[in-house]
Amino acid sequence: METERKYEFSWDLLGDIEMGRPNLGPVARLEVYRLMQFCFRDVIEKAHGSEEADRIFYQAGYLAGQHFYANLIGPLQDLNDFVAKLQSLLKELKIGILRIEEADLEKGHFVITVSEDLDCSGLPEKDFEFCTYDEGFIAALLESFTGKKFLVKEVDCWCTGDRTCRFLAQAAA
Amino acid sequence: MDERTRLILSSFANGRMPTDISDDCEYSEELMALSEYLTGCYRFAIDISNGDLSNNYVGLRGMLAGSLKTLHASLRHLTWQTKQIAQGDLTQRIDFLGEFSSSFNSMVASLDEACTALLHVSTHDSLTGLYNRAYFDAELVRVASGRCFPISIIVVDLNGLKEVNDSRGHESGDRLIQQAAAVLRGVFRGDDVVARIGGDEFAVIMPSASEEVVQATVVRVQQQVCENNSELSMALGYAVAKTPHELKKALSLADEQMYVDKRRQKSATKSAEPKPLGLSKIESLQNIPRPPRLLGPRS
Repeated sequence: METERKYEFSWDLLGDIEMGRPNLGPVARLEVYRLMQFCFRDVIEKAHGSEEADRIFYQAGYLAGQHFYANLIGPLQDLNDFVAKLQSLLKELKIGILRIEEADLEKGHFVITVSEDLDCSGLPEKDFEFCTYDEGFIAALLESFTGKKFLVKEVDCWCTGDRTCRFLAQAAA
Repeated sequence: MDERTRLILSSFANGRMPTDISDDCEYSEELMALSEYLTGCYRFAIDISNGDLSNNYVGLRGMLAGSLKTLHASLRHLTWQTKQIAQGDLTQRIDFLGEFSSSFNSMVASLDEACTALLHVSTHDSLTGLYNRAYFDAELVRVASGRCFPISIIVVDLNGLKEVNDSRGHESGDRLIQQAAAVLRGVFRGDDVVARIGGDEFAVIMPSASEEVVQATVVRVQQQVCENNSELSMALGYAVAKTPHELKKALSLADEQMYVDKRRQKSATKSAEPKPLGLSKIESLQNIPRPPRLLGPRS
């Protein structure tokens, strides 16, 4: 028997920001977003360990990507239209600057970079890639567009000294 | 400090890669790691400067390698964009490399404009601005695979063009063709394909248009011709295709009906002489014969 959900996400949960914030508007400082995200990550890691924290963040990004595609992008048929719309949205919403290095729809292989990324640009250097949420987000976008399941891995990140985040995306066999 | 270590550091400081780092010199492990890192960055830079973007040195980290990776990513994206442009996606614009970007973007914009102009020329009739025969034929094939049935086809023939050309010259004839085009352009819907398919012949594809719709449209054409204070006169025929298989037949049937209408107008004019030449106006056009039914399911 399924447990009744208390926090299931739906797009309307984002609320009517125009009505709710007539003076402050829809924009908040990036530090506030990062403060919340990194504190979540900290607490989840303490409770469940690093690996599980990464898995949860990937899943959260994946869920966000599904809703993002359904509400702001799709449905689209043409790859160029998809890329153009995604690039423009990510820039307009100040999520990051998306660039494509490789896009092979038939083989289900993409190499994507995101500069000035919302999650990691400007962070102190670490020994690991940081953008697990983005990995899930990109996986869901590609899956929503192609109908194929994707696995996305970040191979370069601001946190490993790079100035742009690079993601390899491969459709599952 | 060990003299050998000082010499090695001095080599680094002068931009040279030390060739031999002995295991037993002070800080040998760190110096070897530094040498390995700088060699990796150097190889990466050489690859980029040679235009080889195939290796992105994933394992190489740190700010120096990171800057090279940013350049590498931008160049790879530029390569992808150029491939896209080569495949006809002229919406691509470059946003790095300063002056190069603006020149490149201007070039793509010019290419886009030229393609749009060429596309317009290749699909439109220069005299009337309506679609041309090639576009009409291509659209007929395209709509056949769509879901917008029933599709109505109208064929229109301009009456008396030869007489006008012979008696008053081709400029007058051209003006008559343009008047006909203006009437047709004003009557049909935005999604209808109105084309000039011959010297004095026009044809229209009306997607999702039943017999009632096409009849009403033909009447509107007649009214517009009637209200046009000129010698404009047309013969019209139409047919409705309910399935893709009927489409080609509908075109020839509409053509036949147009000739039926033309003959009817001529005989009506003869019997009503001395009416002016032109077979014009609504009284002669109102009774355009209904086309016989095409093959396929009857409604």
